[in-house]
Amino acid sequence: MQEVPSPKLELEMRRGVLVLAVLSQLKKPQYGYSLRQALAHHDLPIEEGTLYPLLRRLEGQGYLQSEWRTDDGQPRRYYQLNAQGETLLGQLTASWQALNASLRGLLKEENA
Amino acid sequence: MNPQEIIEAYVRDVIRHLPHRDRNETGFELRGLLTEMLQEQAQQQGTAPTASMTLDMLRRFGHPSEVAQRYLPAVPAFLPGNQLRPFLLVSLTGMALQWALTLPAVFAGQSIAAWWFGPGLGAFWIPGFVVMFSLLERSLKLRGLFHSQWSPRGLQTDRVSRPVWTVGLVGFALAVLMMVFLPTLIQSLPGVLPAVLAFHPDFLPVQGMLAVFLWTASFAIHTAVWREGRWTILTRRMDAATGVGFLLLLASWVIKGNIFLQPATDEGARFWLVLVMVLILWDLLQQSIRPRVLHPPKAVK
Repeated sequence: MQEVPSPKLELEMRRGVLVLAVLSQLKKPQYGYSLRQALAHHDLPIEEGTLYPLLRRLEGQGYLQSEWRTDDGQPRRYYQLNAQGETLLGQLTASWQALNASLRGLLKEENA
Repeated sequence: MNPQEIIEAYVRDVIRHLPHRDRNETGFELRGLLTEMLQEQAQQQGTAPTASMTLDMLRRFGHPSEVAQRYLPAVPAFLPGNQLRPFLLVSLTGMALQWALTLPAVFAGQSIAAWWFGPGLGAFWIPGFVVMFSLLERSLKLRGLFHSQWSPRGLQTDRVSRPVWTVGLVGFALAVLMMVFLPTLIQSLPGVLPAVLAFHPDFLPVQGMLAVFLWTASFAIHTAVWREGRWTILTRRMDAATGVGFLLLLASWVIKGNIFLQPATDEGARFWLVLVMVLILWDLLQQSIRPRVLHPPKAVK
């Protein structure tokens, strides 16, 4: 039995909620870098090498819309939820809350 | 290499694994993001961005092939996403070559069924072979072996290693000498070989001399590169010119034939000459490739 939690297992657990975390921050337009900072601000740092491809994949799957904007001379691609993305965010939020409730129950039993 | 050049090299290595239609836009976006990350890091450290800082940041970001894989949709479990196109290319080219080499037997009287249940179906060993190696590589990588660290590389390096080139030039000279004395060497072979490999009397006087002229020119160009220690614009152009010269010469041999006296030897030689032409053409194409320039996407306002 390990006393120190395995970083690998924790990383795996975090990966499971990555899509939901990203979608939750895209109700208003964000570009990759500002999104990463927003997530880090909520104690959910994400590897950039994982985040940027994820944004492109979610757009490819039809959940995000994007547009290029030039702010202070630097062209940036801004992502935002579209209607399909809003629906997905609602569904995943409900699933997460149900899962969270189940786990809380299980862990309460464990500690009782 | 300065920090921006390192980022450019990194982005190039990522996007070359992606489908053509996505390369420019993904590369353009990634370059912007990496530049911003580097600026932030430099600000935190209170210094200007350095090459080593850039390299460290990019290595943390991930190996280009792994980053590219994350951009791609899932593919069959036995292949990483960025290996699908090379897998198809190697498999289909290998199978096409095997069929091209064995199908003529059908036109010479072999039954199509015999061909299909022999070399026809047999050609499928190639995709199987590629998959096996892909699985092996993957399992070794999972065990921490084959973990390569990314390093930036220019697309065309002009500098050459003199010791390596010395060996290469000696090999080149020996190979040309062997080709020049080939007709004499063939005469001293045992059994029926001298008759089988006898050159056509009309071939050597003119065509042979043309080949020797091109080899000499190529040797002189490579010697000049060795002496300079690098390629120059002039030597690159002259090398391309000799490459084109070889292509034209070999094409004329393939079309006209009459290289060897024996028809079977002549046919075999012409087939191999076509392969040599493909290799020369590939080399010329590789040399003409320049680093990809990323343009702002049309949608940039």
